[in-house]
Amino acid sequence: MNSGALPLHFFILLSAVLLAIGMYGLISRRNAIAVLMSIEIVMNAANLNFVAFWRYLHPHSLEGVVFVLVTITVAAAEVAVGMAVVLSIYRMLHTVNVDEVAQMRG
Amino acid sequence: MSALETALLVSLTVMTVISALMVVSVRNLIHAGFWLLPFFLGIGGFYLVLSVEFLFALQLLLYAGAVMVVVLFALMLTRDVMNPLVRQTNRLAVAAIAASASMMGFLIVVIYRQSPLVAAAPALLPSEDITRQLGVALLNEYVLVFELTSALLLSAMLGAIFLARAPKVEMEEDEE
Repeated sequence: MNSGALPLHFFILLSAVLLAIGMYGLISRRNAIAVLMSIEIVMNAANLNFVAFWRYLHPHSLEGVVFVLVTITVAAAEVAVGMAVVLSIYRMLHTVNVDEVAQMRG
Repeated sequence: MSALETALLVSLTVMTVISALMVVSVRNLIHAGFWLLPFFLGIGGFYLVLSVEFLFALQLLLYAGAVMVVVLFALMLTRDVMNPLVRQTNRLAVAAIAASASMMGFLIVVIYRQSPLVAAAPALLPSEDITRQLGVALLNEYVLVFELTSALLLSAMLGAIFLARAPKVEMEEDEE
């Protein structure tokens, strides 16, 4: 699809909206896995911003895409470690609600 | 932009925003996990609009594939994720709506204040062979980033295995 007429504004505003939605989930969700899902929304909004700024402002170097590649890798690592932590907490305390997990050493 | 492109773009935007809203607001967490799928696909669609096909493929493989599966797997291993009687928001929910709405308003004001700068951005160039350039650049200029990323993945994998080991071994390890 040719996006010649699409302004950069569109992508920045969309990222801002998605960031706000993700932040709402991040603050309000009780379940730790749902909090991780909200973090994924925030990270995707940031990725979209990286790609949009790169494509519109610096299309001749590749920093934007490399940044997004690194962010996606970090997100994958974060999900793996986060889920391991969540399952470990669940085995010890039998809940994954972040407002009930108030213990710092088992 | 033709009418068809506008319609496609509008539906892509609506799909992405609505599925993001559903992910953070649906009470049944399994449903919330499945709502992640149209969200990731929508973001991938915007990568296609920006003509970065490689990132679209990566988004499908990593987010819509791997991350979705891990999230659903973890949801199914824990309790009370499908019970509609269990509250899924904490007592900060109203404050969270206020905080994120005010942040969104602030960002929109800032973006429109910066309007001249952003509006001066050139239109998109015709698409080049970005995937090939990226492959060459990753092994030349960005080789340090590339190697650090693989080290990060390795350590994350080891850490995940260590944390998710069998309960008995894990409890002993935690005493140290």
